[in-house]
Amino acid sequence: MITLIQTLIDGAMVGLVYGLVAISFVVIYRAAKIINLAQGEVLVFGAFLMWTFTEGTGYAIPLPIALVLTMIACVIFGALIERTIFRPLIGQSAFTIFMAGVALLILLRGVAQLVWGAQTRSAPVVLPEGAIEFGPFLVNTRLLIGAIFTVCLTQALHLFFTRARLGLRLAAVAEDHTTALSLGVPVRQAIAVAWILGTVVATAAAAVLLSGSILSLGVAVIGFKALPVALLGGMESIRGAPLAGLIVGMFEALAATYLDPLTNGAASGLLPYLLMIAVLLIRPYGLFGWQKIERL
Amino acid sequence: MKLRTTLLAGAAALCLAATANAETYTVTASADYSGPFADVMPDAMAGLQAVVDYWNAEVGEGLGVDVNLKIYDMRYDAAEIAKTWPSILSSDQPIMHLGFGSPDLVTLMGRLPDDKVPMLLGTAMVGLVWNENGWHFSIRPTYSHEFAGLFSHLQEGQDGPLKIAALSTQNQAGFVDQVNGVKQLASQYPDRFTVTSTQWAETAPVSLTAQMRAALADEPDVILVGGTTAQVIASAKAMDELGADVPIVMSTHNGLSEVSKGLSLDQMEGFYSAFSFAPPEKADLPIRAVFEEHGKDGQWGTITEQSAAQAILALRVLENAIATVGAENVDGQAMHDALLGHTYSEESLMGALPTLDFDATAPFPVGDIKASATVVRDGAIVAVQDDWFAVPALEKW
Repeated sequence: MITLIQTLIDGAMVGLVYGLVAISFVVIYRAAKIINLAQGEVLVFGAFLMWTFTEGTGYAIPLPIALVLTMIACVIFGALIERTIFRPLIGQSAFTIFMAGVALLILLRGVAQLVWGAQTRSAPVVLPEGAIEFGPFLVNTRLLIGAIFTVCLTQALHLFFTRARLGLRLAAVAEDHTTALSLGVPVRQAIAVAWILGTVVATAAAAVLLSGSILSLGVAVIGFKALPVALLGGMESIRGAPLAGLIVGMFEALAATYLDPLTNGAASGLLPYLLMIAVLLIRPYGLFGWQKIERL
Repeated sequence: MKLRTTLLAGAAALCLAATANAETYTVTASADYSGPFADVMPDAMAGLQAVVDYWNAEVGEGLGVDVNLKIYDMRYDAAEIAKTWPSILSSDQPIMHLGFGSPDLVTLMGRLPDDKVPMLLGTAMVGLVWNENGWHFSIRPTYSHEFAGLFSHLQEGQDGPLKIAALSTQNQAGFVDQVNGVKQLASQYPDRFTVTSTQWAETAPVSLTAQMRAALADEPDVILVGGTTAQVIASAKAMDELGADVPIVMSTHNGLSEVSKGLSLDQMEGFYSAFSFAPPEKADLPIRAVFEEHGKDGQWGTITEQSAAQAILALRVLENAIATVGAENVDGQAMHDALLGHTYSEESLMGALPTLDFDATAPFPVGDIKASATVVRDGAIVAVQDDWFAVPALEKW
């Protein structure tokens, strides 16, 4: 029983990291109705910015200041993506926007390689290392802080989208661009805010994911791991993303513990996504998504 | 004064004519300046170039042969290699290609026998391409052979079998092959080796605590993590969390220097990196002296040593090809035949590699295969021992 509970705890912690990355997909989709295929690359870009301000300048910048500088850079980066790539495509077909996402993915990989190089480097230690014991159970400190952050961020974003004036504008834009525009909602501004939020959340996820580890372009693969999580939770649901992350993470951990030894490691890679497909067959809009959405 | 000038001009002309008469052969090499090995590539290519420069000056001149090393940035990308190779064939007509890693292997191995260009890799081989009559070779045996050499050394000091837990990924066939080779070792020598479990994980995992917990349940003596650097770091951190301290064995692509970017050497105390060329720190190493004398840039280290070893073997093969077909008639076929037709002694390879013997049954050295390893001891990376490890014979898996 202890093994089972420990497995579920481990899976939940990892799943909430997936959920955090998935939130960054959701905040962009809610306003811009764009599934950003390059979100993994956006995360890596944010991580490189964080590395630049913590270790790459040659000056010993205190960590809190470096993190603030990183977030400012992310705000500029997010606004730049929206302004230069996706704003000109407002009103274009979904396929055009999809292809722009693919182009952004390739562009960001190239730019990151050009600016920072392709080599692996140490990622800054942003969160404490080690583990905390809860009776017979052990919880990774970094992931626990990340999980608490994910839960708090989810609630804060939910309040923002349901209570704050700007958040409600974003919700209106998510409902329908034309209607929102006719009601006097500044759609472009709302979409820009969504991109900035998406970039900042992705960078926060990078901090949790990579703290004290190594940073390379290959980390971007987490984007493709988190996208199904966002789909499972529902592309419009902020609170659905971490819940879907929990489901995927726990199923993955259970499969790794109990089925991988029998399947030569195949089950943990497969089972969460079989579950996801099963759920989407029954609820194509995800567990908590809006029913009337139009998918790519 | 006029006579002196004329004589000098004549001497210079003779020198130029002599240089022009030297037969020039092109050896091409794959580099990765913009892929996952970009950070170590300047050192790797410096190792190749230094040995080629040495050979041209010290050996080639006497043989009337000059080697032109042409380096191509293949980006560790199979598509880039497939796109570039035809133009290399037509414009350079290389007598040998010095490959780097799986992308070169999987892209070129099928066509090399028709292209009549042998390829010599510096990276270790994998059992998946353990085919007969290929034109793809490595200076190193498979990763599993290299691990087997270190495991054999570690087992010699203990009673009973060495308990090995493996952690790898299903995402890359080569990494699965490493584990299969070690399982083969355990099945052939059950009294000496046991694979207690194999844990599977992502190449860039969020956490490996669950996998390490499962691996440590069997109380292994070593944990083999032959996949990625991120996996080694996550494994070590998971062990810290779990209060365990079991040595991790890794390879060279995810070796001790790479891992030290994410872990301090204190955290890596007792960790091993297994390979089969001489440890760069080895006390008496003539190839290092060559690099120090002829290297124009780059720093001596594991990857430099690997490349220098690759280059010196290629050039010794060229010497044998020249002896067989003459300085004017060397081509890919002559190089292929010279590689398979001779034994290359450790001395002729300047200590960079053990004595090597190739035949058509395998794409790596056959016979008494040797390996080596480095370890983190007292906060420094040092050679486990100056002598080579004997690798237990492995049947094909």
